[in-house]
Amino acid sequence: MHHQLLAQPAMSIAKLTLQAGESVTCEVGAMIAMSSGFTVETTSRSRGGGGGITKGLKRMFSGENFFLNHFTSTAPNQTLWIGPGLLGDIMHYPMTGGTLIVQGSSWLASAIGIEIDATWQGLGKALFSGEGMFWVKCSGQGDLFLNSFGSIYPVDVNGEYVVDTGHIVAFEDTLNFKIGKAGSSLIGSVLGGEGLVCKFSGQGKLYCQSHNPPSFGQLLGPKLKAR
Amino acid sequence: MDQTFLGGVFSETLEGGRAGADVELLPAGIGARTPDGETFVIPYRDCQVEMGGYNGRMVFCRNADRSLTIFCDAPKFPKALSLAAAGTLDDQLAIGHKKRRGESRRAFLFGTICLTAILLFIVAGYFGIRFGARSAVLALPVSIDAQIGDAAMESMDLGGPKVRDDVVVGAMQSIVDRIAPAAAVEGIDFRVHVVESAQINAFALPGGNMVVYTGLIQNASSPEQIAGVLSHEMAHATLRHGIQRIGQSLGIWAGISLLVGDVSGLTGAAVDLMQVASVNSYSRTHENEADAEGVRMLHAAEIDPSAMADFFEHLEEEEGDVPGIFAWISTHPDHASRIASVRAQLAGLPPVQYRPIDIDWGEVRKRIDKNIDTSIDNSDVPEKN
Repeated sequence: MHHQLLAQPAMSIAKLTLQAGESVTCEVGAMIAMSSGFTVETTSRSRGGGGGITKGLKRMFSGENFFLNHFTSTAPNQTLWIGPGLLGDIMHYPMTGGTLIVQGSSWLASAIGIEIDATWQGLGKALFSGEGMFWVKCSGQGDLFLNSFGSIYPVDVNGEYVVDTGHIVAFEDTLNFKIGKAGSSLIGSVLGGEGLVCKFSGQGKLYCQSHNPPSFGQLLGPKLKAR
Repeated sequence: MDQTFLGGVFSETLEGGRAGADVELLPAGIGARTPDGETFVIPYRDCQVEMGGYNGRMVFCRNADRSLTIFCDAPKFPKALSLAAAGTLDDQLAIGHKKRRGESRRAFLFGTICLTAILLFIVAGYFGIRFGARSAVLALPVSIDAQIGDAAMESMDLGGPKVRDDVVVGAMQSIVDRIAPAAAVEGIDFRVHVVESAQINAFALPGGNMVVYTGLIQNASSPEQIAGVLSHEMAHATLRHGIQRIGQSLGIWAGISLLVGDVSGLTGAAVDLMQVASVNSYSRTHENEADAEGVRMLHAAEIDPSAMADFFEHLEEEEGDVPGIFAWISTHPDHASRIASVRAQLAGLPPVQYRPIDIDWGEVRKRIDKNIDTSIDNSDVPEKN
């Protein structure tokens, strides 16, 4: 599978080129356009793998869809255009056998060798991380595509790193994070507008998003007319 | 025996610095083989072990200069590593486990505290709103009660024509006037309206409008029994139970907006609600409060309060014969316990010389029992909705 990311970072879309027999699994509703040589299968399980209803329900808890769409090319050089529902960036992550922890709703598409599952982040993190209650856990090998609100920037963490809540897109499972205050005092942190932050530690790659939907919604909401 | 686990490796020699790998516990050390076939080995004697990762259970094995890290989060890996290294790494593994357990306990404690705080916040919020609504409406001037009560009185269906007989209406008004000076709140102008209806009922709207049905007068054996019922209904008005119900129904913000003077929008909603409230029962707490306050008012007005309990008992006995007609009883449930609590309150009252109610009770009953239609004035009876 060959990929090309276009119109980054504000209105990104991904152009995937598949050869005959190759498959890709996409989020429901991600397909924008495609060649005629694709067969589309909608199931709740991974292609050729396990899962089913339980994993479908877990995905729903993590902010993803119960169903998955599997696109299989039946001819050479078939192109599939995919994009996220909200404006924002798309990133490509080549998985080589490890695990990537992804914020709920950021998974866009992946090769069939990648398992998509949901994982609980703990009560404290669920309440204060600014993310969903569950995270999406991607493991296996192949191409993985994630989307964000705003642009995505990678950070190589080796030691400690601080990210504001609501700005995490994904991180490698070799990293861990705790919820903490941005400054030395909680009152100072709140007055400074930062409040609580995610403090990462360990070694691995962390992907952050420049904006987040709740902040945008808080700005936009009061300006909208009531229905 | 060599053992293999799923894991990964960090090394500057790898593209991107990281790769997934099969982690093997070899006789010479910890080995890692990437999907591209590259192999890495860290001798056990050089290995520095740390615990971490997303779930806190991942074991990181680093070489002496920390340029190479092999990691694995398989649940059986720590024990297998301990055995393969012949116990040389046990101290480091124990420290890692201890650290992880400590962090896990702290996270659990933190989560439990947060959950408890949220639950307490919800419970406190619920009671805060209830208390806040009550406080907000009780802070309103009594004139608001009259405004709402008068509007409700004008628009509500009373269930029968008004009686205009001066003897009957005057007698009821004089009972109320005798009790009124004992009211806990000043500024309520009690005005009695007698309505022809077989239902044994009476009610008071906020602000002092009172409705007495002829069925109540016909079923009472003395003016003191009427006074017992009327004192209970007057207590609902003086204790402002109706306005409290409005406050609870419309919420604390409605109470606050009333407080700051925005009466117009809420009055309509309050009137609608009061029309329903007047014919439905109050809460058990409000009923008990009204009983106690009614007895206190009767005692202060030197009217025998035992008549209230007598009338309750009389209605309870009669209720079985004509079910449904005893509206006052049916909207005041559990009268047996109420009779008991009224009797208990009577026993604790200081002795006082009760004075009879100065009305011509015989004439009132005669006029009620007579063909009452001849004395009815229908001219200003509101049309039924």
